[in-house]
Amino acid sequence: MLSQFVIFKPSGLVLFNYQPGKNFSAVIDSFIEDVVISKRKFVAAEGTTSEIKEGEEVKAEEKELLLLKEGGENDDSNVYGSYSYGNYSVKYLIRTEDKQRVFFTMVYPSLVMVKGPYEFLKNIRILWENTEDISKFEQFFKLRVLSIQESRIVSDSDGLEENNEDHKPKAGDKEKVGKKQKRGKGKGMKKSRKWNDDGTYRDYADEDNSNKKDLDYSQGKQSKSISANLDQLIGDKKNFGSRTSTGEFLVKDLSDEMNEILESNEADNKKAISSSTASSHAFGFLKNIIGGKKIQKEDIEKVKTALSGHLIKKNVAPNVANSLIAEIEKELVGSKTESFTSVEVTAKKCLEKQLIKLLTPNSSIDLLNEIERKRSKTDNPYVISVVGVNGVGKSTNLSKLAYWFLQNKYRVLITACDTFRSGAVEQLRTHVNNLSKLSPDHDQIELFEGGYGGSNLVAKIATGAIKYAKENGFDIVLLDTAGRRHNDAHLMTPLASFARAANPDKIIMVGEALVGTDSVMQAKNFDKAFGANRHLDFFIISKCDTVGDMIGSMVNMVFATGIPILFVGTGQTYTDLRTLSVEWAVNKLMS
Amino acid sequence: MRFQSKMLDDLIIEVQSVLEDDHMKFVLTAIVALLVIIITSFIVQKTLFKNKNRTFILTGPKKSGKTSLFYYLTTGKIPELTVTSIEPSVGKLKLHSDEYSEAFADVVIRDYPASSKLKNLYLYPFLKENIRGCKGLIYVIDSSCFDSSYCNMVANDLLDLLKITESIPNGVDIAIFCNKYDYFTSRKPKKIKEMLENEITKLYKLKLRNLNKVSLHDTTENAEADESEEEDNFEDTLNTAFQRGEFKFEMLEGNVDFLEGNAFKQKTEPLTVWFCEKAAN
Repeated sequence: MLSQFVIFKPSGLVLFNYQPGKNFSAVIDSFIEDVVISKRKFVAAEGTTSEIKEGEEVKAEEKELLLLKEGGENDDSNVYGSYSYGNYSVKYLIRTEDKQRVFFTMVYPSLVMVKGPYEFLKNIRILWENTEDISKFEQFFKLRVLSIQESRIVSDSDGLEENNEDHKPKAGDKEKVGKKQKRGKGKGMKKSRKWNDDGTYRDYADEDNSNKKDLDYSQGKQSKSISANLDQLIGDKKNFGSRTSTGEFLVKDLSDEMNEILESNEADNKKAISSSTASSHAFGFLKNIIGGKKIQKEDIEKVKTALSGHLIKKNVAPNVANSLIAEIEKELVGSKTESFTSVEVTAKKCLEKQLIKLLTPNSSIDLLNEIERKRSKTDNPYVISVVGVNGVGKSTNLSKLAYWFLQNKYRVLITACDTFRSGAVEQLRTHVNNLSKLSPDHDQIELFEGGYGGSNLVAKIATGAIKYAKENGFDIVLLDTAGRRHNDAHLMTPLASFARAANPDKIIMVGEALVGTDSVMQAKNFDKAFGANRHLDFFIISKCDTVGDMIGSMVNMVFATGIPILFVGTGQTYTDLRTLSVEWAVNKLMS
Repeated sequence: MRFQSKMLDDLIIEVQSVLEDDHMKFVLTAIVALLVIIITSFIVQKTLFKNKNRTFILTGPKKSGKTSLFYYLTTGKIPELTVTSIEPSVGKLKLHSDEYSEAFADVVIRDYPASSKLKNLYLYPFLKENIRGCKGLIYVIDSSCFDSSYCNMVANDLLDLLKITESIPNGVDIAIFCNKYDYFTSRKPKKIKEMLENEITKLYKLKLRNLNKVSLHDTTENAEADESEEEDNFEDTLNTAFQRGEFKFEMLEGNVDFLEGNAFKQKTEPLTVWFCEKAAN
């Protein structure tokens, strides 16, 4: 059921690999790409777990995370999360210690239910850190894997018993009790361990006795349930015992040792928490100036407000700014400042890095190259469609693109798919007239129009234009769509059918630099509008010349969708279209 | 009493003169001490920041086997499995043959992640700053899946790198390591070279037709002059490599060698030979 478990370092080196079957490193690679590098928490691919999984399980997982959080487990040094790719789910734990990150990832099919995946990860982490011998760790690991597999069977049998006996506690209650016990005693998965070997059930009973003092509620019920479980244990024991390949004695020794490690670690953790509060140095203030200071949470607290204020001034949406800064905080706490730099400077540098990482596209888009490629293969024209909110400059940027294509000796067909706003077609005709006069060859550009009408006309015009272009040897078809409000479902739904009918090679969203916080929702909604399989390809950010250095909406849009910016519009004339330079944008944002 | 007071006066004067002398001495020593501190700190900084080590850079597209090669070169062992790297890693070169090991004592290898986001974050800034300390660049490609789209990606990547490496006299030597050479679908280095040259020629022509990047002075009036200047510089660095519009690796300032091998099967002899050549220089 567990497809793969990998422990690796950021350098890409795998420290431990458990792989009963096929190699699923592609899943892990995409997890790294999406979550660790691009910081995209959710990638909505087809058949994601959120659809398949019942709400209950998700809730159970959330509850577990919450429990871990209460136990001081989910602080900055341990980050838990989940990710899904194709038909596989990934649960991960990123452990940071002295700035060294170690990744614990488990891959399993989405259809399989795993009980307490985070608890499992936590225990594996503790074992990993306290076991030097790798072969021993491997044995521990195999034991753990068996235990999560069997915990499922336990829960199933619980369900059966429930039907027979009315006074038995409900499965949920019992689980809670079990968890309480785990937390209190620091023995994760204790309940499941009893299935592994015969000696341990006594152990369990002992523990229960000692627990009776602090667990005053439901103890009667619990002891009953335990006795019931014990009865069942005798029936099932042989089954499970034969499963362990290493022999029972060894298993018992190992599991005892393992639990010892887990227990002692828990105690250490508590000590660490109590001692870490009192740590300040006499000459700390000097270190602030000459560097070499270990950054604490309080230091960042001061810088945080200044930086988020700076970003918000640059037109970055507050929630985007906050999450960027949370990222920085995570990176900086515990690290040391370089010599002769203050915390502020270090934080600023870190922010700069974050922005570079955010704005750099994941894959390079070379439009001319792609057009060349398509044209050399087929007769079909290269279709580009432009979408956006009203008045952001869709038609203007479309004609800028057309001008650039004309200069590159392509034949361009501009199509007026805005059948709604009066004057839209006439506006495009003016552009086409201008462009045909500017182009080296006069019949290089034409306008395809279908008049005004309802939304069903749009798809018809688009397909007609593509057909016309193919017959008349045009290289590129540019589809101009009507501007629409992104939060109006009535206007947004036709986009999906339009994308299906025209099937453009590239869908470009034009966003203006002037818009503020709303740009997040604009980008998100337009990205969603084309259905599950189609996304925006890139953005054009228009009117960059009007905002000076307040180009925060670029950050908003990329942050919200992960889609890159390819062009920026910098003026009114046909030549005022530029490709984005990440350096330029970051400089402006940081100035 | 009078005599006593005179004696006291003398004593005071004497003490004062001694004190003054001491004061002078103190000031002098303080100045000397300060000077010494400043000078040593300068020297220390120079020696610290001047990277004496010869650096070799390991880069290339995703899943070409960079990390495996890196660990093989630095530790002699091949990791059982590697995943996408997130951070660059640095290590000293360790060759198995003892005869060369001394010559390579100061060789440092840096492995950079392939994700374009991370390249912009780590590789390019490092290259721009330390280009002079960089003695060579190993570009790892997977020759078993070298089709036209892969070729396009590699060509694009190489163009970006060449822009930096060709900016200094004599350039930086590049080894293009064709990994996984022994697979059924693998292409020969000669073919790969030919494909890359054609692709780069094509790309370069397209790049000239492409739109300019937005620059810092773009929104101001005198944008034109700055921009054209920048553009000229960029063209100059690579223009010499284009003979009659055709790109040839031989025309570059730095030497480009195509090596074949398989890092997963410990077959990296050509690379070892290449290292020996570069270390001899």
